[in-house]
Amino acid sequence: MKTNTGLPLWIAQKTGPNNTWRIDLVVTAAALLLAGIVLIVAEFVILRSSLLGELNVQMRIIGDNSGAALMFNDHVAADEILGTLQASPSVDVAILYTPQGKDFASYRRQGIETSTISPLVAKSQRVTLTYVEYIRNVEVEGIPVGKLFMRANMRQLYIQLLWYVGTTVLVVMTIIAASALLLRRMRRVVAHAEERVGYLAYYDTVTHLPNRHAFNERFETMLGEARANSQNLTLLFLDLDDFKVVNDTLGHHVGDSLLKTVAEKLSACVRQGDAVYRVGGDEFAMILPNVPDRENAVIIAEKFIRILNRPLSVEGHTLYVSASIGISMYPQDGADTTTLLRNADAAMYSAKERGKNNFQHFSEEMHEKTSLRLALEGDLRLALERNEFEVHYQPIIALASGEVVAVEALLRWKHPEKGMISPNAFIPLAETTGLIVPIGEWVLRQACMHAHTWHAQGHEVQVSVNLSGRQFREEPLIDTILHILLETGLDPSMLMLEITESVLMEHAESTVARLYRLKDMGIYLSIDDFGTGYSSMTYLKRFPVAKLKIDQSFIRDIPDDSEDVAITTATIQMAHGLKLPVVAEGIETQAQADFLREHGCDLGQGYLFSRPINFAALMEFFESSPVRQKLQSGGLRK
Amino acid sequence: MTSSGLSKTIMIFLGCLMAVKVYAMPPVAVSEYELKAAYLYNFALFTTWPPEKMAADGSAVVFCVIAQDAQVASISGLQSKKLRDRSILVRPIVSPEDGRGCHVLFIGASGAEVLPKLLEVVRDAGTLTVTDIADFARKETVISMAIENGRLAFDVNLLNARRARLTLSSKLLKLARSAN
Repeated sequence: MKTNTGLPLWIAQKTGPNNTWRIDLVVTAAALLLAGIVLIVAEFVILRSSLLGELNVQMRIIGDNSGAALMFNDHVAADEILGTLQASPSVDVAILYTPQGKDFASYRRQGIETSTISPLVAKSQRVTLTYVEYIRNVEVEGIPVGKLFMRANMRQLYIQLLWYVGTTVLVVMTIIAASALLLRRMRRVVAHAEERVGYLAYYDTVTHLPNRHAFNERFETMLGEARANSQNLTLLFLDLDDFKVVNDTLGHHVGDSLLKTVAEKLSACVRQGDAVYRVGGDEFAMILPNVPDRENAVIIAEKFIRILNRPLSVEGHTLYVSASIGISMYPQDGADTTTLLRNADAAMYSAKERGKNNFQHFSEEMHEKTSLRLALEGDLRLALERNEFEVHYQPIIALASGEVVAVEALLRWKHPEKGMISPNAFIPLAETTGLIVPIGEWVLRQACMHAHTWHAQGHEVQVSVNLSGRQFREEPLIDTILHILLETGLDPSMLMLEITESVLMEHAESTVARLYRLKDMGIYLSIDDFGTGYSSMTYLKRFPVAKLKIDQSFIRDIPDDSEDVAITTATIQMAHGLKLPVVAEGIETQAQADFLREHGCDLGQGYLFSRPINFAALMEFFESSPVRQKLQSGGLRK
Repeated sequence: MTSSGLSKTIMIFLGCLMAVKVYAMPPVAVSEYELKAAYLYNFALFTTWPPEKMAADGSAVVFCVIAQDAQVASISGLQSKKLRDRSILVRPIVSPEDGRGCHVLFIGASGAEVLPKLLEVVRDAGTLTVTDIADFARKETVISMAIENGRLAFDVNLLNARRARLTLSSKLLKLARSAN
């Protein structure tokens, strides 16, 4: 068993010295011996009964043949007949008697003493351990003409039995030897399997590093030691940045290889006796005893970051990875395992928030943030039930005509105590916790319901709903959308789904087919924040994209900033080249609106026209503003 | 024929010599006639008659005797025995015609005169002919008895047995001094 990673001893040797196979062997031998004895006894009984049977037959033949000789008083013939017994070595003595009990003829094997013969009268048969005696009448045509006595020895029987015993012993010995060999081999296989199970329980099979289970046990032990010896104990949590991107774009196979490479690099970097643990998907942990102070911990963390910053060659890809490290130290940052783990985790998240590829020490403020986040998370889980969400709409105006042609649905959270909470604060939390999925569904349903209301009133106004990456990964997304449309009765052409270009690119291949199902229903995509990520023009052609949205960061400084002007005009031209209408968001001034209209931008939204308003306000807005009505020509809509 | 005839003659002669010698020996526990009667019974025991001769109705086996009175009396003693579940009937005969219907025919020394005629009657009639007369009578009967070395021996004439359609057990033939 591998113990080179400094695992506690009990993992390595759980089973004591193994003598069970010897006991097994003794039991087997005893069983075989017993079986052997039973077989030998059985064989003895069989052999003896066959001897008796044989003797019986012989006596019959001799009796039948000697009947006439007895009748005609022919001793010579009788002697001749008895003489044939020479051929059967087991017969020692045979005597023919006349009906009066006188000797008529006899046969003795050579070397048999006459004196040992004791013709029996009372019993017809006598069986001892060494010989068998028989006496029977000789009859001719039912008339008794004499008696025949015969004695057979068991010499032959015992020789046969001896052979049998020898063979049995040989077979038993062979079986014992074979089973000893087999048992030992089986023990070895079982031991190996046990070892493997132990390994699987404590090790990660991808990186061959000890796993979270091993980490927990080891950390508990080391913390106990540190506490007893009043020493420091440093805990490092390392999380690979954007590992998911690698997994999603290059496949799990490459992802696993990357983890393996990173594991090797980290293991090579720690001191002898320190172990690297893989505690989660892309999370590693290191327990470092005897780090005197924070400065030294920083040096170690820097070393890890430096090492991982070098390009890694994995499966033919050159990958640039970075990591965020969180550090917590005993006794400064916590006294027990739970606190130390939580604080290291918090420090790591903090490092991630600060732009990744760095490390953070745990700090009290971090703790507060963590607590805040946890509290917020708890509230967020309840928000749906408590009906604290609200959908607001921001009108989208056709710049040329000033008509309202669409609205963007935006989520608002009215916290019972904290009041309005910015989407920037809770959307990322909803994303990480997965709550975005039920919340997103609620928003979609809400928006479709509202849109159906105004559409029924004759307003030909589309509703745009944002989809997050997390929602996009959910398998039944398309079905959910279709279901909601069916439920609310909204004309599918009135719904527009907005996604960021990075989400689209991330899921490019897997979602094309699904997106086309939406297109078949008449639902199109709008690319949000266009220009902030990187887009491939071919993708734009491949997806059912109906609109591009220029990010407000480009709009903010036009028409003064020449760079933004260049980007905005180029985007408009490119979009028109692809026959896609363009939306500019974040329009706040008339100058911006004028500029965009002059340069052919089709649609616009922003505070200049209206800030996001709730449904009731929107309906009022529709009353007071020009709104595109039904039965009007398609215009900008494709 | 001549050589075998000659050897037979010699044997008969030797037999006579031996027979003479027997007479000189002290009498055995069982009388000679008793022994001969017992032998006669034993011969019958090892003989199979043709089916038409031995009816299936369980009728008696007929022992015909032509001999001196003392011997007849000995043989008559067999009537107390049974032969294969049949009773034994001993019939002394006088004339050759009496030979009809006999299963066993014993010819003692006193029957030497009527022997030729008697044999003519019984030869093909399925009768087991037995004699204790020495010399020529031996050739004409199925079994002949003679004393040899103080022991009663017997010879079997298979030719005569076949002519009489009798089957003699091989056990009997094995014990015979000669069987031809």
